[in-house]
Amino acid sequence: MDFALTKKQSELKQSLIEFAESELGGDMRGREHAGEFFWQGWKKSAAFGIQGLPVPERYGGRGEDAVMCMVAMQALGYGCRDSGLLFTLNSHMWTCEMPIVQFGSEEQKQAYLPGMVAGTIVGGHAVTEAEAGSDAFALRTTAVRKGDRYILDGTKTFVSNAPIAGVFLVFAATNPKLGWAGISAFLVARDTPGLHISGPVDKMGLKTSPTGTLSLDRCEVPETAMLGRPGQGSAIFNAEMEWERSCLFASHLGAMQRQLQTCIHHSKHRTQFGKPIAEFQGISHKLADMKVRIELAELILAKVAWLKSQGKRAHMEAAIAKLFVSESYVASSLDAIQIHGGKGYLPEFEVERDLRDAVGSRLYSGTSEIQRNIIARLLGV
Amino acid sequence: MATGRTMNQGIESIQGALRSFIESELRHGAAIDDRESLLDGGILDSMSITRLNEYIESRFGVNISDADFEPENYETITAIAQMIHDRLERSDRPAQPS
Repeated sequence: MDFALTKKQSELKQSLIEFAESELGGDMRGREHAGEFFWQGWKKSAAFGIQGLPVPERYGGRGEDAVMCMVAMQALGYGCRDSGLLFTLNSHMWTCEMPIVQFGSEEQKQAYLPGMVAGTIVGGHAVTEAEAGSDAFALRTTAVRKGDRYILDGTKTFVSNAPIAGVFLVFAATNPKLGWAGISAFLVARDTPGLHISGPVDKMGLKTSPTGTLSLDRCEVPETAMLGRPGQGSAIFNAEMEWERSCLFASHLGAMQRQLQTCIHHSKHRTQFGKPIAEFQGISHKLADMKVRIELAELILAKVAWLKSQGKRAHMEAAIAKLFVSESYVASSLDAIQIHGGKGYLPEFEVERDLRDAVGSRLYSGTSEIQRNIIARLLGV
Repeated sequence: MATGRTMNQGIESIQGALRSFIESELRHGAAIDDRESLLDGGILDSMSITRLNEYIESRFGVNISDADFEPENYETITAIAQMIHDRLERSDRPAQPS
Protein backbone atom coordinates (compact mmCIF):
# COMPACT_ATOMS: atom_id res chain seq x y z
CA MET A 1 0.00 0.00 0.00
CA ASP A 2 1.50 3.32 -1.10
CA PHE A 3 0.12 6.58 0.25
CA ALA A 4 2.67 8.80 -1.49
CA LEU A 5 1.87 10.90 -4.54
CA THR A 6 3.87 10.21 -7.67
CA LYS A 7 6.26 12.89 -8.97
CA LYS A 8 3.74 13.84 -11.67
CA GLN A 9 0.91 14.11 -9.12
CA SER A 10 3.04 16.20 -6.74
CA GLU A 11 4.08 18.55 -9.50
CA LEU A 12 0.50 19.05 -10.67
CA LYS A 13 -0.64 19.65 -7.10
CA GLN A 14 2.04 22.26 -6.44
CA SER A 15 1.55 24.06 -9.73
CA LEU A 16 -2.21 24.20 -9.19
CA ILE A 17 -1.86 25.60 -5.68
CA GLU A 18 0.47 28.31 -6.98
CA PHE A 19 -1.83 29.03 -9.93
CA ALA A 20 -4.94 29.23 -7.75
CA GLU A 21 -3.31 31.44 -5.11
CA SER A 22 -1.96 33.87 -7.68
CA GLU A 23 -4.73 33.88 -10.32
CA LEU A 24 -8.04 32.81 -8.76
CA GLY A 25 -8.29 35.22 -5.87
CA GLY A 26 -8.79 38.86 -6.77
CA ASP A 27 -11.63 40.79 -5.20
CA MET A 28 -13.41 37.77 -3.80
CA ARG A 29 -15.41 39.78 -1.26
CA GLY A 30 -16.58 42.17 -3.96
CA ARG A 31 -17.67 39.33 -6.23
CA GLU A 32 -19.44 37.58 -3.38
CA HIS A 33 -21.26 40.76 -2.39
CA ALA A 34 -22.38 41.27 -5.99
CA GLY A 35 -23.14 37.58 -6.56
CA GLU A 36 -20.87 37.77 -9.57
CA PHE A 37 -19.37 34.83 -11.43
CA PHE A 38 -15.57 35.08 -11.89
CA TRP A 39 -15.34 34.82 -15.68
CA GLN A 40 -11.68 35.80 -15.73
CA GLY A 41 -10.88 32.98 -13.30
CA TRP A 42 -12.93 30.57 -15.40
CA LYS A 43 -10.99 31.50 -18.56
CA LYS A 44 -7.64 31.29 -16.79
CA SER A 45 -8.63 27.85 -15.45
CA ALA A 46 -9.38 26.70 -18.99
CA ALA A 47 -6.05 28.05 -20.24
CA PHE A 48 -4.33 26.15 -17.43
CA GLY A 49 -6.10 22.96 -18.54
CA ILE A 50 -8.39 22.40 -15.55
CA GLN A 51 -11.65 21.88 -17.47
CA GLY A 52 -9.84 19.40 -19.71
CA LEU A 53 -8.37 17.25 -16.93
CA PRO A 54 -10.62 14.18 -17.41
CA VAL A 55 -11.23 14.63 -21.16
CA PRO A 56 -9.33 12.49 -23.69
CA GLU A 57 -6.56 14.25 -25.57
CA ARG A 58 -8.28 13.88 -28.95
CA TYR A 59 -10.94 16.34 -27.76
CA GLY A 60 -8.36 18.80 -26.42
CA GLY A 61 -8.16 17.47 -22.86
CA ARG A 62 -5.41 15.93 -20.75
CA GLY A 63 -6.91 12.47 -20.30
CA GLU A 64 -6.01 12.22 -16.60
CA ASP A 65 -7.30 9.40 -14.40
CA ALA A 66 -9.46 9.74 -11.27
CA VAL A 67 -6.47 9.95 -8.93
CA MET A 68 -4.94 12.87 -10.83
CA CYS A 69 -8.31 14.59 -11.05
CA MET A 70 -8.85 14.29 -7.34
CA VAL A 71 -5.35 15.55 -6.53
CA ALA A 72 -6.02 18.52 -8.81
CA MET A 73 -9.37 19.40 -7.27
CA GLN A 74 -7.94 19.12 -3.76
CA ALA A 75 -5.13 21.51 -4.74
CA LEU A 76 -7.64 23.96 -6.18
CA GLY A 77 -9.69 23.80 -2.99
CA TYR A 78 -6.58 24.67 -1.01
CA GLY A 79 -5.41 27.50 -3.22
CA CYS A 80 -8.69 29.10 -4.32
CA ARG A 81 -10.94 30.98 -1.89
CA ASP A 82 -13.67 31.41 -4.51
CA SER A 83 -15.60 28.27 -3.72
CA GLY A 84 -18.38 29.41 -6.06
CA LEU A 85 -15.97 29.27 -8.99
CA LEU A 86 -14.83 25.83 -7.82
CA PHE A 87 -18.44 24.65 -7.54
CA THR A 88 -19.16 25.80 -11.09
CA LEU A 89 -15.98 24.11 -12.35
CA ASN A 90 -16.84 20.87 -10.58
CA SER A 91 -20.44 20.88 -11.73
CA HIS A 92 -19.35 21.57 -15.31
CA MET A 93 -16.73 18.80 -15.26
CA TRP A 94 -18.42 15.97 -13.38
CA THR A 95 -22.11 16.39 -14.17
CA CYS A 96 -21.98 17.47 -17.80
CA GLU A 97 -18.54 16.97 -19.32
CA MET A 98 -17.84 13.51 -17.87
CA PRO A 99 -21.26 12.11 -18.80
CA ILE A 100 -20.50 13.14 -22.40
CA VAL A 101 -17.07 11.49 -22.17
CA GLN A 102 -18.59 8.29 -20.74
CA PHE A 103 -21.90 8.04 -22.58
CA GLY A 104 -21.72 10.43 -25.54
CA SER A 105 -21.79 9.55 -29.22
CA GLU A 106 -18.81 10.60 -31.33
CA GLU A 107 -20.94 13.38 -32.79
CA GLN A 108 -21.84 14.68 -29.31
CA LYS A 109 -18.23 14.52 -28.16
CA GLN A 110 -17.06 16.48 -31.18
CA ALA A 111 -19.85 19.01 -30.76
CA TYR A 112 -19.32 19.79 -27.07
CA LEU A 113 -16.07 18.56 -25.56
CA PRO A 114 -13.55 20.83 -27.33
CA GLY A 115 -15.57 23.91 -26.30
CA MET A 116 -16.08 22.65 -22.75
CA VAL A 117 -12.35 22.04 -22.41
CA ALA A 118 -11.52 25.48 -23.84
CA GLY A 119 -14.02 27.14 -21.50
CA THR A 120 -16.15 28.59 -24.31
CA ILE A 121 -19.06 26.30 -23.35
CA VAL A 122 -20.21 25.98 -19.74
CA GLY A 123 -22.11 22.83 -18.81
CA GLY A 124 -25.27 22.87 -16.70
CA HIS A 125 -27.05 20.06 -14.88
CA ALA A 126 -30.83 19.80 -14.71
CA VAL A 127 -32.29 16.94 -12.72
CA THR A 128 -33.95 18.45 -9.61
CA GLU A 129 -37.62 19.47 -9.67
CA ALA A 130 -39.92 21.03 -7.13
CA GLU A 131 -41.37 17.62 -6.23
CA ALA A 132 -38.25 15.57 -7.03
CA GLY A 133 -35.31 16.55 -4.83
CA SER A 134 -33.90 13.70 -2.77
CA ASP A 135 -36.35 11.47 -4.64
CA ALA A 136 -34.64 12.50 -7.88
CA PHE A 137 -36.10 9.73 -10.04
CA ALA A 138 -39.64 10.83 -9.22
CA LEU A 139 -39.18 13.61 -11.77
CA ARG A 140 -42.16 14.74 -13.83
CA THR A 141 -40.43 16.28 -16.84
CA THR A 142 -41.37 14.25 -19.89
CA ALA A 143 -39.74 13.66 -23.25
CA VAL A 144 -42.24 12.41 -25.82
CA ARG A 145 -41.00 10.98 -29.07
CA LYS A 146 -42.37 12.56 -32.26
CA GLY A 147 -40.81 11.03 -35.36
CA ASP A 148 -37.07 11.59 -35.12
CA ARG A 149 -37.45 14.23 -32.40
CA TYR A 150 -38.32 14.48 -28.70
CA ILE A 151 -40.58 17.10 -27.13
CA LEU A 152 -39.51 18.03 -23.58
CA ASP A 153 -41.93 19.54 -21.07
CA GLY A 154 -41.29 20.36 -17.42
CA THR A 155 -39.53 22.64 -14.95
CA LYS A 156 -36.10 22.10 -13.40
CA THR A 157 -35.01 23.86 -10.22
CA PHE A 158 -31.60 24.30 -8.54
CA VAL A 159 -29.93 24.03 -11.94
CA SER A 160 -26.22 24.55 -11.40
CA ASN A 161 -24.70 27.12 -13.80
CA ALA A 162 -28.10 27.82 -15.41
CA PRO A 163 -27.55 31.55 -16.04
CA ILE A 164 -24.19 31.00 -17.78
CA ALA A 165 -24.39 27.50 -19.30
CA GLY A 166 -24.29 26.88 -23.04
CA VAL A 167 -25.52 23.30 -22.79
CA PHE A 168 -27.62 21.46 -20.21
CA LEU A 169 -27.81 17.82 -19.31
CA VAL A 170 -31.56 17.43 -18.81
CA PHE A 171 -33.19 14.34 -17.30
CA ALA A 172 -36.71 13.46 -18.44
CA ALA A 173 -39.07 10.48 -18.43
CA THR A 174 -39.31 8.80 -21.83
CA ASN A 175 -41.25 5.87 -20.39
CA PRO A 176 -42.97 7.02 -17.17
CA LYS A 177 -44.50 3.55 -16.67
CA LEU A 178 -41.02 2.20 -15.83
CA GLY A 179 -40.23 4.86 -13.19
CA TRP A 180 -36.45 5.17 -12.63
CA ALA A 181 -35.77 2.78 -15.53
CA GLY A 182 -37.77 4.97 -17.90
CA ILE A 183 -35.65 8.10 -17.46
CA SER A 184 -33.39 9.33 -20.26
CA ALA A 185 -30.85 12.14 -20.50
CA PHE A 186 -30.67 14.85 -23.17
CA LEU A 187 -28.12 17.44 -24.15
CA VAL A 188 -30.09 20.64 -24.66
CA ALA A 189 -28.35 23.69 -26.08
CA ARG A 190 -29.12 27.04 -24.47
CA ASP A 191 -30.64 28.55 -27.63
CA THR A 192 -33.10 25.68 -28.17
CA PRO A 193 -36.62 27.09 -28.80
CA GLY A 194 -38.88 26.33 -25.84
CA LEU A 195 -36.05 26.45 -23.27
CA HIS A 196 -36.46 29.35 -20.85
CA ILE A 197 -33.83 30.17 -18.23
CA SER A 198 -34.28 32.29 -15.12
CA GLY A 199 -31.98 33.22 -12.27
CA PRO A 200 -29.61 33.49 -10.60
CA VAL A 201 -31.30 32.75 -7.29
CA ASP A 202 -29.74 34.07 -4.10
CA LYS A 203 -28.21 31.47 -1.79
CA MET A 204 -26.73 31.29 1.72
CA GLY A 205 -23.28 30.44 0.31
CA LEU A 206 -21.56 29.68 -3.00
CA LYS A 207 -22.81 33.11 -4.06
CA THR A 208 -20.41 33.38 -6.99
CA SER A 209 -21.77 30.18 -8.57
CA PRO A 210 -24.95 31.04 -10.47
CA THR A 211 -27.94 28.75 -9.97
CA GLY A 212 -31.25 29.06 -11.77
CA THR A 213 -34.43 27.47 -13.08
CA LEU A 214 -35.15 25.90 -16.47
CA SER A 215 -38.60 25.79 -18.01
CA LEU A 216 -39.03 23.40 -20.91
CA ASP A 217 -42.14 24.39 -22.81
CA ARG A 218 -42.59 22.07 -25.79
CA CYS A 219 -38.84 22.18 -26.13
CA GLU A 220 -38.04 20.17 -29.25
CA VAL A 221 -34.70 18.42 -29.71
CA PRO A 222 -33.50 15.91 -32.33
CA GLU A 223 -33.24 12.28 -31.25
CA THR A 224 -29.46 12.68 -31.53
CA ALA A 225 -29.65 14.96 -28.47
CA MET A 226 -30.26 11.93 -26.26
CA LEU A 227 -27.17 11.04 -24.23
CA GLY A 228 -26.77 7.29 -24.13
CA ARG A 229 -29.77 5.11 -24.88
CA PRO A 230 -33.44 5.31 -23.83
CA GLY A 231 -33.77 4.44 -20.14
CA GLN A 232 -30.09 5.01 -19.34
CA GLY A 233 -30.77 8.22 -17.39
CA SER A 234 -30.45 6.64 -13.96
CA ALA A 235 -27.19 4.92 -14.90
CA ILE A 236 -25.80 8.23 -16.21
CA PHE A 237 -26.93 10.00 -13.05
CA ASN A 238 -25.37 7.39 -10.76
CA ALA A 239 -22.10 7.46 -12.70
CA GLU A 240 -21.83 11.26 -12.58
CA MET A 241 -22.69 11.31 -8.87
CA GLU A 242 -19.71 9.02 -8.21
CA TRP A 243 -17.48 11.61 -9.86
CA GLU A 244 -19.07 14.57 -8.15
CA ARG A 245 -19.15 12.93 -4.73
CA SER A 246 -15.43 12.35 -4.96
CA CYS A 247 -13.88 15.21 -6.98
CA LEU A 248 -16.09 18.07 -5.78
CA PHE A 249 -15.57 16.91 -2.23
CA ALA A 250 -11.81 16.72 -2.81
CA SER A 251 -12.06 20.50 -3.35
CA HIS A 252 -13.76 20.76 0.04
CA LEU A 253 -10.94 18.71 1.56
CA GLY A 254 -8.47 21.22 0.13
CA ALA A 255 -10.52 24.05 1.65
CA MET A 256 -10.43 22.30 5.04
CA GLN A 257 -6.63 22.06 4.80
CA ARG A 258 -6.35 25.79 4.07
CA GLN A 259 -8.78 26.48 6.91
CA LEU A 260 -6.61 24.50 9.36
CA GLN A 261 -3.48 26.41 8.31
CA THR A 262 -5.32 29.70 8.89
CA CYS A 263 -6.48 28.54 12.32
CA ILE A 264 -3.02 27.33 13.36
CA HIS A 265 -1.50 30.65 12.31
CA HIS A 266 -4.15 32.64 14.17
CA SER A 267 -3.96 30.60 17.35
CA LYS A 268 -0.18 30.89 17.50
CA HIS A 269 -0.29 34.67 17.12
CA ARG A 270 -3.41 35.61 19.06
CA THR A 271 -2.48 36.19 22.69
CA GLN A 272 -4.93 36.07 25.59
CA PHE A 273 -4.27 35.70 29.32
CA GLY A 274 -0.59 36.28 28.56
CA LYS A 275 -0.01 33.44 26.08
CA PRO A 276 -0.92 32.33 22.57
CA ILE A 277 -4.39 30.82 22.54
CA ALA A 278 -2.93 27.66 20.88
CA GLU A 279 -1.54 26.80 24.31
CA PHE A 280 -5.05 26.39 25.71
CA GLN A 281 -6.39 22.88 25.28
CA GLY A 282 -9.79 24.31 24.42
CA ILE A 283 -8.17 25.57 21.21
CA SER A 284 -5.50 22.94 20.53
CA HIS A 285 -8.04 20.11 20.75
CA LYS A 286 -10.17 21.83 18.13
CA LEU A 287 -7.11 22.02 15.88
CA ALA A 288 -6.45 18.32 16.53
CA ASP A 289 -10.05 17.43 15.66
CA MET A 290 -9.78 19.41 12.42
CA LYS A 291 -6.63 17.48 11.51
CA VAL A 292 -8.28 14.13 12.27
CA ARG A 293 -11.18 14.99 9.95
CA ILE A 294 -8.76 15.99 7.19
CA GLU A 295 -6.69 12.80 7.46
CA LEU A 296 -9.74 10.52 7.39
CA ALA A 297 -11.34 12.46 4.56
CA GLU A 298 -8.14 12.16 2.54
CA LEU A 299 -8.05 8.39 3.09
CA ILE A 300 -11.60 7.69 1.94
CA LEU A 301 -11.25 10.02 -1.05
CA ALA A 302 -8.00 8.27 -2.00
CA LYS A 303 -9.83 4.94 -1.86
CA VAL A 304 -12.58 6.21 -4.16
CA ALA A 305 -9.97 7.60 -6.56
CA TRP A 306 -8.11 4.29 -6.59
CA LEU A 307 -11.29 2.27 -7.23
CA LYS A 308 -12.31 4.56 -10.08
CA SER A 309 -8.85 4.56 -11.65
CA GLN A 310 -9.05 0.75 -11.62
CA GLY A 311 -12.40 0.90 -13.43
CA LYS A 312 -14.18 -0.50 -10.38
CA ARG A 313 -17.58 0.50 -9.01
CA ALA A 314 -17.41 2.92 -6.04
CA HIS A 315 -21.04 3.69 -5.19
CA MET A 316 -20.75 2.94 -1.49
CA GLU A 317 -17.29 4.44 -1.03
CA ALA A 318 -18.32 7.64 -2.85
CA ALA A 319 -21.40 7.91 -0.60
CA ILE A 320 -19.23 7.41 2.51
CA ALA A 321 -16.76 10.02 1.26
CA LYS A 322 -19.49 12.53 0.44
CA LEU A 323 -21.15 12.06 3.83
CA PHE A 324 -17.93 12.25 5.82
CA VAL A 325 -16.35 15.18 4.00
CA SER A 326 -19.48 17.33 4.05
CA GLU A 327 -20.20 16.73 7.74
CA SER A 328 -16.51 17.31 8.54
CA TYR A 329 -16.47 20.52 6.50
CA VAL A 330 -19.36 21.94 8.52
CA ALA A 331 -17.82 20.83 11.85
CA SER A 332 -14.41 22.29 11.00
CA SER A 333 -15.95 25.53 9.73
CA LEU A 334 -17.72 25.94 13.07
CA ASP A 335 -14.45 25.20 14.88
CA ALA A 336 -12.64 27.76 12.73
CA ILE A 337 -15.15 30.47 13.71
CA GLN A 338 -14.88 29.54 17.39
CA ILE A 339 -11.07 29.66 17.25
CA HIS A 340 -11.19 33.11 15.67
CA GLY A 341 -13.77 34.40 18.17
CA GLY A 342 -15.59 37.60 17.19
CA LYS A 343 -13.40 38.05 14.10
CA GLY A 344 -14.58 34.71 12.84
CA TYR A 345 -18.13 36.07 12.75
CA LEU A 346 -17.26 39.06 10.56
CA PRO A 347 -17.25 38.68 6.75
CA GLU A 348 -14.22 40.95 6.35
CA PHE A 349 -11.95 38.32 7.91
CA GLU A 350 -13.17 35.65 5.46
CA VAL A 351 -13.57 32.88 8.03
CA GLU A 352 -17.36 32.66 8.23
CA ARG A 353 -17.74 32.18 4.45
CA ASP A 354 -16.50 28.60 4.74
CA LEU A 355 -19.40 27.74 7.03
CA ARG A 356 -21.98 29.22 4.64
CA ASP A 357 -20.41 27.27 1.77
CA ALA A 358 -20.04 24.09 3.82
CA VAL A 359 -23.73 23.90 4.80
CA GLY A 360 -24.61 23.47 1.14
CA SER A 361 -22.28 20.49 0.87
CA ARG A 362 -24.60 18.51 3.15
CA LEU A 363 -27.43 19.12 0.68
CA TYR A 364 -26.19 18.94 -2.91
CA SER A 365 -25.10 15.69 -4.58
CA GLY A 366 -27.60 13.96 -2.30
CA THR A 367 -28.22 15.01 1.30
CA SER A 368 -26.41 13.39 4.22
CA GLU A 369 -29.58 11.40 4.87
CA ILE A 370 -29.62 10.10 1.29
CA GLN A 371 -25.95 9.05 1.58
CA ARG A 372 -26.84 7.04 4.70
CA ASN A 373 -29.74 5.48 2.78
CA ILE A 374 -27.39 4.50 -0.05
CA ILE A 375 -24.88 2.97 2.35
CA ALA A 376 -27.59 1.05 4.20
CA ARG A 377 -29.18 -0.21 0.96
CA LEU A 378 -25.83 -1.41 -0.34
CA LEU A 379 -25.34 -3.24 2.96
CA GLY A 380 -28.49 -5.14 2.09
CA VAL A 381 -30.70 -3.64 4.80
CA MET B 1 -19.40 -24.30 -29.82
CA ALA B 2 -22.20 -24.96 -27.34
CA THR B 3 -25.03 -27.24 -28.50
CA GLY B 4 -28.65 -26.14 -28.06
CA ARG B 5 -29.01 -28.50 -25.13
CA THR B 6 -25.94 -27.28 -23.20
CA MET B 7 -26.84 -23.65 -23.98
CA ASN B 8 -30.30 -24.11 -22.45
CA GLN B 9 -28.80 -25.81 -19.43
CA GLY B 10 -26.42 -22.85 -19.04
CA ILE B 11 -29.22 -20.31 -19.12
CA GLU B 12 -31.37 -22.34 -16.74
CA SER B 13 -28.53 -22.52 -14.28
CA ILE B 14 -28.00 -18.74 -14.49
CA GLN B 15 -31.75 -18.16 -14.04
CA GLY B 16 -31.76 -20.36 -10.97
CA ALA B 17 -28.89 -18.46 -9.36
CA LEU B 18 -30.50 -15.10 -10.15
CA ARG B 19 -33.89 -16.24 -8.83
CA SER B 20 -32.31 -17.39 -5.62
CA PHE B 21 -30.42 -14.08 -5.14
CA ILE B 22 -33.43 -11.89 -5.93
CA GLU B 23 -35.79 -13.89 -3.71
CA SER B 24 -33.46 -13.91 -0.74
CA GLU B 25 -31.86 -10.48 -1.04
CA LEU B 26 -34.47 -8.28 -2.72
CA ARG B 27 -37.79 -10.01 -1.97
CA HIS B 28 -37.39 -11.05 1.68
CA GLY B 29 -37.86 -14.66 0.66
CA ALA B 30 -40.96 -14.19 -1.50
CA ALA B 31 -41.04 -16.35 -4.63
CA ILE B 32 -40.72 -14.82 -8.08
CA ASP B 33 -41.45 -16.10 -11.57
CA ASP B 34 -38.68 -15.85 -14.16
CA ARG B 35 -40.96 -13.92 -16.52
CA GLU B 36 -42.33 -11.52 -13.90
CA SER B 37 -41.45 -7.86 -14.63
CA LEU B 38 -38.76 -6.65 -12.26
CA LEU B 39 -39.07 -3.02 -13.37
CA ASP B 40 -42.85 -2.60 -13.60
CA GLY B 41 -43.30 -4.42 -10.31
CA GLY B 42 -40.75 -2.25 -8.49
CA ILE B 43 -38.63 -5.25 -7.52
CA LEU B 44 -35.54 -3.59 -8.95
CA ASP B 45 -34.85 0.04 -8.14
CA SER B 46 -31.84 2.24 -8.83
CA MET B 47 -30.08 0.97 -5.70
CA SER B 48 -30.93 -2.71 -5.78
CA ILE B 49 -29.68 -2.92 -9.35
CA THR B 50 -26.22 -2.01 -8.06
CA ARG B 51 -26.37 -4.92 -5.62
CA LEU B 52 -27.62 -7.20 -8.36
CA ASN B 53 -24.78 -6.13 -10.68
CA GLU B 54 -22.22 -6.73 -7.93
CA TYR B 55 -23.67 -10.21 -7.45
CA ILE B 56 -23.59 -10.93 -11.20
CA GLU B 57 -19.95 -9.82 -11.41
CA SER B 58 -18.82 -11.95 -8.49
CA ARG B 59 -20.97 -15.01 -9.31
CA PHE B 60 -20.49 -15.17 -13.07
CA GLY B 61 -17.25 -13.25 -13.60
CA VAL B 62 -18.69 -10.82 -16.13
CA ASN B 63 -17.99 -7.12 -15.89
CA ILE B 64 -21.02 -4.82 -15.99
CA SER B 65 -20.47 -1.09 -16.10
CA ASP B 66 -22.98 1.73 -15.71
CA ALA B 67 -22.88 2.26 -19.46
CA ASP B 68 -24.20 -1.28 -19.97
CA PHE B 69 -27.58 -0.61 -18.37
CA GLU B 70 -30.52 -0.95 -20.72
CA PRO B 71 -34.01 -1.51 -19.29
CA GLU B 72 -34.81 -4.42 -21.61
CA ASN B 73 -31.84 -6.38 -20.24
CA TYR B 74 -33.27 -6.17 -16.71
CA GLU B 75 -36.96 -6.58 -17.47
CA THR B 76 -37.18 -10.18 -16.20
CA ILE B 77 -34.93 -12.86 -14.74
CA THR B 78 -35.01 -14.53 -18.15
CA ALA B 79 -33.73 -11.34 -19.83
CA ILE B 80 -30.93 -10.87 -17.31
CA ALA B 81 -29.90 -14.51 -17.68
CA GLN B 82 -29.80 -14.12 -21.46
CA MET B 83 -27.60 -11.02 -21.13
CA ILE B 84 -25.18 -12.87 -18.83
CA HIS B 85 -25.16 -15.89 -21.09
CA ASP B 86 -24.41 -13.76 -24.16
CA ARG B 87 -21.53 -12.09 -22.39
CA LEU B 88 -20.10 -15.40 -21.24
CA GLU B 89 -20.38 -16.69 -24.79
CA ARG B 90 -18.58 -13.65 -26.17
CA SER B 91 -15.77 -13.96 -23.64
CA ASP B 92 -15.31 -17.66 -24.59
CA ARG B 93 -15.11 -16.90 -28.30
CA PRO B 94 -11.55 -16.72 -29.66
CA ALA B 95 -10.49 -13.25 -30.82
CA GLN B 96 -10.95 -12.64 -34.54
CA PRO B 97 -7.82 -11.69 -36.48
CA SER B 98 -7.88 -7.99 -37.31
